[in-house]
Amino acid sequence: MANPIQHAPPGTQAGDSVHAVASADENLAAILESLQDAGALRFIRAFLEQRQPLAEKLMEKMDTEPTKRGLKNAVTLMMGLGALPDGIGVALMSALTQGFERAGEASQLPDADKMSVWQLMGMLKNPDVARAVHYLMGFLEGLGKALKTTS
Amino acid sequence: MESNETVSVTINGQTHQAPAGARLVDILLEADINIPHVCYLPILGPIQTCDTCIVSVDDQWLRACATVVSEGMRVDTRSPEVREREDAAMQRILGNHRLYCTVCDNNNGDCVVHNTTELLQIEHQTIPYTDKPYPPIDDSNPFYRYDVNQCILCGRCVEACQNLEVNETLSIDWSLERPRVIWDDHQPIGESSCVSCGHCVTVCPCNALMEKSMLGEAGFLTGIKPDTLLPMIDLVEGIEPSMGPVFALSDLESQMRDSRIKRTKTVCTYCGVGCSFNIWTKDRHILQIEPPLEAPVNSVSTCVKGKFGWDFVNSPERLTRPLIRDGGQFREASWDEALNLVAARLSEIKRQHGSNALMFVASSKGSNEEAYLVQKLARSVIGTNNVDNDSTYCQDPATYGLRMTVGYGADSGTLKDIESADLVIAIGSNTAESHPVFATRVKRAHKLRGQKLVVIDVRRHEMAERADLFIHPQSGSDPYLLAGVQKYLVDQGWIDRTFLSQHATGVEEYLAFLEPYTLDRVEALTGVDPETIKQLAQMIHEAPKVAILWAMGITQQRQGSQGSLAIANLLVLTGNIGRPGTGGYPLRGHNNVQGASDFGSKPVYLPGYQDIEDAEARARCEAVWGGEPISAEPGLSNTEIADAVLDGRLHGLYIVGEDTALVDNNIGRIQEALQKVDFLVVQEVFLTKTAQYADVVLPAVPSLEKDGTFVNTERRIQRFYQALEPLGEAKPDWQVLTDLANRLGAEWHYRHPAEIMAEVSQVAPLFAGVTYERLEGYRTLLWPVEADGADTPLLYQEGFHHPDKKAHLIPLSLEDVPYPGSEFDILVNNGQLLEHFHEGNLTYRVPGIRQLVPEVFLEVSPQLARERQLEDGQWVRLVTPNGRARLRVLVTDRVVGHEVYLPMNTVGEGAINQLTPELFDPDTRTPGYKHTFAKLEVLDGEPGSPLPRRNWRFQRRHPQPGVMVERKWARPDYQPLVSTGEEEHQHG
Repeated sequence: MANPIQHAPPGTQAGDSVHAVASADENLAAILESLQDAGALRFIRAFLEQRQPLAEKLMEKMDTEPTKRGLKNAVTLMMGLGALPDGIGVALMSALTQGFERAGEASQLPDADKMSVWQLMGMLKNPDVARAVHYLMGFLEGLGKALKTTS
Repeated sequence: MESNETVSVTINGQTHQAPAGARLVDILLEADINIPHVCYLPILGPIQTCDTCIVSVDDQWLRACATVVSEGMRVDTRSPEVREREDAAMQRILGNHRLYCTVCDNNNGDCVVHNTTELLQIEHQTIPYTDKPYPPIDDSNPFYRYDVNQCILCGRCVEACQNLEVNETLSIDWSLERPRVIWDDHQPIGESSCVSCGHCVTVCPCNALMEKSMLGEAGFLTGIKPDTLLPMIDLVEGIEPSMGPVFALSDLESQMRDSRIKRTKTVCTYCGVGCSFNIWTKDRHILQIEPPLEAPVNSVSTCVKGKFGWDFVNSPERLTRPLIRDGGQFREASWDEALNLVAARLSEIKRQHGSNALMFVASSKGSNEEAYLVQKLARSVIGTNNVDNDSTYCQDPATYGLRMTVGYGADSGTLKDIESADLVIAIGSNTAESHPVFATRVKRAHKLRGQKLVVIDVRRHEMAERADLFIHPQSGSDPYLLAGVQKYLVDQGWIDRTFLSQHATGVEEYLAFLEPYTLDRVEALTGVDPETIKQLAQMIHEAPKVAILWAMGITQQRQGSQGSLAIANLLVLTGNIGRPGTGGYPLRGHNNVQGASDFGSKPVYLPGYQDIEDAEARARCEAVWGGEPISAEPGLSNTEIADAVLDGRLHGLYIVGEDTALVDNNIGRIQEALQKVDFLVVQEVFLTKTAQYADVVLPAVPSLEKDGTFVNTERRIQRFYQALEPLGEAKPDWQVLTDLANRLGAEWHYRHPAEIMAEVSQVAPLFAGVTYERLEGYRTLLWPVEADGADTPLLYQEGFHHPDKKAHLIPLSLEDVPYPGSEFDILVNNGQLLEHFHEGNLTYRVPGIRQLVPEVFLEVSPQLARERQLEDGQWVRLVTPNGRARLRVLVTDRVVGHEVYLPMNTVGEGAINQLTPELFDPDTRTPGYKHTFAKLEVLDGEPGSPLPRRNWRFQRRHPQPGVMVERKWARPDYQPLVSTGEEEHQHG
């Protein structure tokens, strides 16, 4: 008579291992295979094996005055951009865009190749032109003051 | 609305032909004109909340989803004004939603909000997002959560809940200052009438509604803890980058997810509806079930089990190594040792006692190919017809009734026919809980199209509550009721004489049989009053197309075959078969009980329902199989196993994926037989009750870990694909059977189930044209399938499946209606619950389902509760001549009087089959489970309901027509973008 056996012996059911599939091993194998297919594995191997001479060559190229100046200027530029007031980028880009559009239109006018002094003076009375001139003058003033300070 | 007419429509200057009555949005999308459409989903119809599909139609701004094409219509989708409106509509949506796609679990390439924002090339939000004034997350449901802050109020979830699933839980409260989706009357999800069907989650176009299994798992960065993630999101939003770079990054991340997320098409392993969907997995983790629009049976529909019930696949109780009984314990064994032992013992039994001393049971959850191999093993290797499957316990009476009358023992059409019927009669079917997705279509047709619904049942379940006519006859009297209805139809001249004269035989004999079943006599037999019978007859007469569904409430009566005959006769008598929108639909229980019979695991049929007495059929099989000659003697069925073992005829049993020890009608007797049988092999996924008796247990895999096909209740053959690797050393059943057969001297060389199916198509004309290529992806075939691949969605259009091509009206052989006695005065009705499937071997291993329904309970009527002083939680004992069961009471008006309801999901001392009688249908030997009469003994009280009070059964649904977008339009803060004054909400 076969009485019912309610339990399976250890190791014959999935247990907690059901989710502990060897993901790390599988992923590693998959990564290596993908790198190999892309030709990158050989590249990486070469890079690692040659790392010392490569590093020396890289430093040799970078340790020149023009390169160092370029890197320093790039960092300075990033810092400067960070100092700009919030939102100025959008406003300025919008203004420049409209300025270029209007410039394009103006240059296509029939008499765009002529400009008398009177016409020039009259344009300065145009509030939009005056605003832009003030803006540019203000910019020059700020720039001049900053140059005076740094020098 | 379908029409063969076409109209000419000009779209962006080009002329297109479109079906008259088609929606403009569908025509545009089919023409690859990719207009935005956030809330629109074809199966849901127009919802009209998002306004992103606004186009110019004859110089008016209209929503394309709500516009029907007409002759000469001029459509513009490209003008700046159209773009302006699309942009404005989308900006309103984005004002309700934070875009953090790169760290969002919904960033899988299919997020509608993400994709539409990209499509419209929106660079910046113009309406800033603000948090909504509600607790942000509702995660009270075990399976999904709602993030109100991400909700764009598209209303898809509401439309799906109200009009597709028709559970009528969700709505949008448009009266709030900040509208939101609500469950019932602002209940937490987990305390609402939500049945966790998953429709809302599936159709949600963003991450507002998400499966909990996806959260923190889908993306590379989504697992970051919220206290870090939220500041990251704030930081990015503070920088206010344009959307271009943000989407570039999120699209990259989405693409990378393809390396870790596998999407595999599968077919549900639970019920006979045969829902199909894509299952998303990451290693062994099941991320989600995604039912696509094109899934042929269900489209985007699911139920709680199909959408959320897959945790069992990763249960720590999964068997991973073969086991051999050694004294009073199992010991671990290798496959070689186990299969060699099985082969040796089967051979020994065959030698000593003959082939018929062995019996094989195929699984109604295994694949068609595996059912085929079980019967091939039995017949061609062992030499016996002793092979059966679960259908004997449930469906064979329906098969019998239909074969006798119309020729094929299966559903005569598909779900589409049920949907399009004018009257659906559901007899003995708790459709909303046993075949939920089928029920959605009946409910939808009833709600939206005025389809009439009649329910005949002893229990007031959801379909009964919705019915236009609910009839509660005396249990077991349904054949008399149906005879009475037919007699009345005849007397009124409401039968289809023309149809009968052309397509039926036995008419006069049948009409003579009906003569005694007058209204008064039927009332005495059934308890149903004459007016109700007349009303039913009237409804049948007035409906141009009638479809009848039935299930275990009929087939598991002692007269299940006669009841099924009565149903089939009614359909023939009224000409309601062989036409679209009509027919008979026995709803199969298990996902592949249809297929297990179709593919030959029956004691009297070869594959394709070829009779074993048919010499030509036997010769055809023998020519392909070789091996033993096939006997013409019928074999034993499942319900004969116990007797055959106990009287010494059977000495060996091989059971594949069937919990015989619990599903047989007399648990005590079958378990005694399993103890006694000389050799028992069980091939299983878990150490089930049956497996506990085995001499050898072979670890099998569930459907997600193998390839194969199933046949659903519609006769639809569907492929499922392997999504996960087999766990441990468990193997697909077909591999085990092949290996075993070869150790028994066969030469089976199957390398893939496709090869098995190829062989089936040679031996079974019913499947002549079935190939795996023709079943690729979501393609399906409904048998019979001709050699050229032509299948048969609707049977009997060219005649019935008899040599004379006619339907046969068969007089019934009726027995007395069973009544309770004075001692055993309680009728114990039994069946299934929505959340659990059968005994619960799978569903009890899903923690979320266990949370919803932690244990079995006995439904008791208020009358009986008063009479016996019972309260919720009270322990009672039910006693029958066969056994006893101890249960806790739940008082409910779903049952009346001395009728109680005991669901099947019991694994302990509450198992229904400890009570069920030794009564069998004489034609099929299906047990009369429904004729269980018991006495009730009151035991100790235990406070509290056995069903948590938060369960949907205690809540109240909130039906409404749909999203009710008119309320949105009426809000003072709504600025219309369309140009029509009158907004109309149209259903598709």
